Amino acid sequence: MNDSPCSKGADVAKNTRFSPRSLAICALAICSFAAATCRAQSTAEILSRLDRAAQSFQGATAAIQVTTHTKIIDEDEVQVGTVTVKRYSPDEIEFLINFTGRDAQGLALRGQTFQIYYPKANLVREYAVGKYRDLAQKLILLGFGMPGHELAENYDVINLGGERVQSQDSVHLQLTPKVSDVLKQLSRVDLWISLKTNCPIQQKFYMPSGDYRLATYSDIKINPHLSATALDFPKSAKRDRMN
Amino acid sequence: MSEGLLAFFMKQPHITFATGTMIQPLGGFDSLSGIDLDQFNQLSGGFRFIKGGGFKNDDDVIVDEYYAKEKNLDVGSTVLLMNHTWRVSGIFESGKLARVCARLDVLQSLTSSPRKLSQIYLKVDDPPHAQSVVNDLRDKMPGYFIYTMDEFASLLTISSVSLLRNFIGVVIGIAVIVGFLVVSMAMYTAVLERTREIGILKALGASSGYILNLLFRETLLIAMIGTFAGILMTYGTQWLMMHAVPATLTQETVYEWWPIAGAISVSGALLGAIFPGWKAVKQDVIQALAYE
Repeated sequence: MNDSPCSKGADVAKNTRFSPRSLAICALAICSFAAATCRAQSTAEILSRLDRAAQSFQGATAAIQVTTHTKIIDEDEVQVGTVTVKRYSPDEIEFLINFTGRDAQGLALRGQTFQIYYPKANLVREYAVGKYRDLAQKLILLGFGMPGHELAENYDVINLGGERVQSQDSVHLQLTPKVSDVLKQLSRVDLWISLKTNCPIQQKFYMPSGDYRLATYSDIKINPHLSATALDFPKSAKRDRMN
Repeated sequence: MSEGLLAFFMKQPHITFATGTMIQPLGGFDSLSGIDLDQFNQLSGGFRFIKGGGFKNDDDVIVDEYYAKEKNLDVGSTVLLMNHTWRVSGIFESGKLARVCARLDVLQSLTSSPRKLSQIYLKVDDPPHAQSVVNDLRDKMPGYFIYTMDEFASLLTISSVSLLRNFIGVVIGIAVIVGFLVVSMAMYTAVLERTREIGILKALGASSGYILNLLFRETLLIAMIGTFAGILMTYGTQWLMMHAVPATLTQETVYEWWPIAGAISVSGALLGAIFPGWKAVKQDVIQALAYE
């Protein structure tokens, strides 16, 4: 992220010879300016950047860590795994999340069907999500190949400025759902979009109870080669249609 | 929900006990409930087993009498649920908000959801405190669905499912209209076919009032017999459901509907009979006798 305003500010401060005090003032001033520039530009710029990035988005793979926080008992539960996203057409995105470890489980959205794979039972449960498909797609894949205008259509977007997350420059967006039904279940979403990949590196979903779900993505690969079976659960698994 | 919430609830005022269950849908109306049997017994006073008893092994399930009947299960039978083979260790009297129960920890492990719960049941020191405890918890935990048992039980009724309630309303409406029309048309046809007989009665000197009175009484009798037969047949369908799918479908006899069904039958029949009867008695005798 050498071309981002924030890193430019840091580079300037590093390469210029001043007294420590003036260096600090200068660095502060430059960083403040850079941050202000980030903030001033970003809402419109980031959304149009996402629009452009969405056009070339074909898929992605990443490692995922999900922390589910229960506020009232101040408890965190962590799940780790991988996520694979594949886009077939502008409106058709499929994904597979494979959690590993003692809570190993697979979640997938394929067309109108949401699937949950239980490895210990070697069972795939299939739910026809119908009209909720878009909601599932937009919530779980928030930011992956989603055009900026679509983001702005569904959420009130506030730009909280540039932040460095997982050694990556990102822009921090605060999203408040516009649909009241969604708002009852989801107070707001914080989204950190990588300036390098234009994909989320972190999503934080806040519930009305104060609980939240923090998803952190790392080792993100955009438009990797995905085999035809990349999103499949084991063929031997039994399939149960639930509705 | 996290199992950690149980400890939190136990610290709340008036709460004397808390236990959680995990519900796994099995398709259709069936579900598999994961319970901690000892805790559940402590909460609800325990299961009353008709045969067998509680869990002895990890793969044991207990089923209620209706589920056992529908699936032909007995103690020692095996049943495949969630692609896992379970052994029936006991059959209990229904009424525990579950038809099939397994060990909570086994179900949590099978679904890779350790320390996860679907529902938490709380016991309060005194029933009148239930509402205040619920209100207090709703304040502390906005967004969580917290109910008294009365509220929870009311959610399980048909009227709480708006789509189902509307669907049933439409079905009842259609049944009422179709029933009325069928009865009406059947009587209309029956009386119309008797135009010639009405003509004979008129030729023999019967008055219009006499003929209409005759038709009215006959129609009333047929409608009442039909209503009675219909009510008897509902017991037939009830018996059929109780023996074929006892765990899936239940039929409740709504006695308030008996007079409504009777009124529909009688009014439909009378309307269907009186109109062609009236037309027939008003017809010329010769024309009525010539009616084919």
